[in-house]
Amino acid sequence: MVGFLRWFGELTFFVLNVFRATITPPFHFGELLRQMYEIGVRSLPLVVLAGAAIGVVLSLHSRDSLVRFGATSLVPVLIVMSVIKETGPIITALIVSGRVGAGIGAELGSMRVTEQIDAIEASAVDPVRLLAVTRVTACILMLPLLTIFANFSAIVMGWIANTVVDYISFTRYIDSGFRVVNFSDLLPSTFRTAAFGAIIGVIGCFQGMRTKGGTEGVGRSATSSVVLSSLFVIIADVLLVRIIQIIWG
Amino acid sequence: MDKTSAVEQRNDERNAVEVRALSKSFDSQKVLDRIDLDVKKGETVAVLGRSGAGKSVLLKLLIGLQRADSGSIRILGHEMTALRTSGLNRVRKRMGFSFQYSALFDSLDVERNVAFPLDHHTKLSTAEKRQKVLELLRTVGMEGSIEKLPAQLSGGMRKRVGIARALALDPEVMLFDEPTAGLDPITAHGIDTLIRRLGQERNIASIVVTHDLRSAGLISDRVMLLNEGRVSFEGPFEELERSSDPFVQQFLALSS
Ligand SMILES: Nc1ncnc2c1ncn2[C@@H]1O[C@H](COP(=O)(O)OP(=O)(O)O)[C@@H](O)[C@H]1O
Ligand SMILES: [Mg+2]
Repeated sequence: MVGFLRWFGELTFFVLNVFRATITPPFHFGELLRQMYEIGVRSLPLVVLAGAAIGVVLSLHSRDSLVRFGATSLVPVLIVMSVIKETGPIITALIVSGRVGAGIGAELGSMRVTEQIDAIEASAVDPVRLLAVTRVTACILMLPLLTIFANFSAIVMGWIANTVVDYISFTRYIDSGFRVVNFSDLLPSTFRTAAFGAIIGVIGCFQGMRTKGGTEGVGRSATSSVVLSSLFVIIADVLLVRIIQIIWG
Repeated sequence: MDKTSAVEQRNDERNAVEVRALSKSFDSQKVLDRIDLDVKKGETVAVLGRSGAGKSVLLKLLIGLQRADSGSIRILGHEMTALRTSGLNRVRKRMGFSFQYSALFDSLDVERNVAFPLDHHTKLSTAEKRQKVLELLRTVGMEGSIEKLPAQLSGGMRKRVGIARALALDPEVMLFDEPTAGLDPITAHGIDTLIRRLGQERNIASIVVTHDLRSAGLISDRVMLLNEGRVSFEGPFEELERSSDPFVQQFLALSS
């Protein structure tokens, strides 16, 4: 318990540090672009694939449920609603927690134990700015974009899976799927993933930069980054969904 | 003004590094216990001691990578223990640190590793930086490996690239952590000669942590022997051999 409080205190301090460094110069744009590529572009195939799988599964479940009420015409809207409101954002965040969380935790962890972070500091460069700010910012910017791709992929695959059993044209599917959807469904749901990005980036960088104990420590940091960021993403999801519902009704 | 403070003032001007009563513990383990050390401009001091004696910790305290528990560290006239990050960084730009295990950036090639301090602290053009990097790599005999990644280099080559990086901003104080450990005798001799020249030609104050008694004798104006957190000997290398301290005797006997 004391250990946890201490950890949480250090985390809070780290977050404040990252925040202050984010809004004051110098900025490391080159490194930011590199991280956006690493985190965004390189996660894209995985996210699209996961989205596709979710789309198929949702289509099967929605059909199976709605058939019992004779309401299969509602399949599109159920798929679209569940994808954009919850499934797309959370699946994207969890996939990125796994891939990027582990990646950042291990990369910064190995930089810590091989004294590369010390070397940055000895060169009079702030490692928080160079390493953490760039990665956290890249995560915040890339998560909503990845979510849009995941949503798109899930909705399209939902249509394909649905079409196999009951043909409707893609335009009709989209029309009926989005008929009741408005921007207050779409925007807050998609952009709340920026908060998930912040969580993933901060936890990965924090766990990585405080790594101790050689190669084993690097493994521990990678694992704990994934576990903790997934956990915090899920907790944040509950809170954010509630907040969004209160604000947008 | 009394006599001692006049002397101290003169010391301030001459000494690039001035350490007083420096102590550092980890948990209950006392690693350094009231260490004193002066290094003048152009002077090279070798720090000897068994592994675990706290030599690396001493260097990290000097450049502010770790915080001292008590005592004073003046570098180029700045009290490092009192400085915050921005102040520390101003002094760090005038220092170079060659790490025990090189600490090269895995993701960057040799050129970008050596250029790292230039990229962050100078406004040189790409061509000027390349010129400077080539010059630095030539100093350490590594100009042939400019495009290699650290993973493609041997331990000795990494070490030399690390030294080139540490020299990039023309430091006035250099800290070397076991620069020749694990190197073949020829490479080691090359690095020893380089360290010697840095003091003589560029007036750099160097602190060189080493296990190697022979190289300590070759490069240093003075040596300091650490044992159990205390300084058990400090003075010219020749006097080390005449010391009657039992630890010094044992260290010498087992080193040769
Ligand atoms: N960050 C640290 N945390 C805890 N103990 C440390 C740390 N750094 C060094 N030590 C301990 O301090 C002692 C001196 O270490 P070091 O300075 O690396 O020795 P060496 O003289 O071989 O360079 C060792 O016992 C080491 O375990
Ligand atoms: Mg050491």
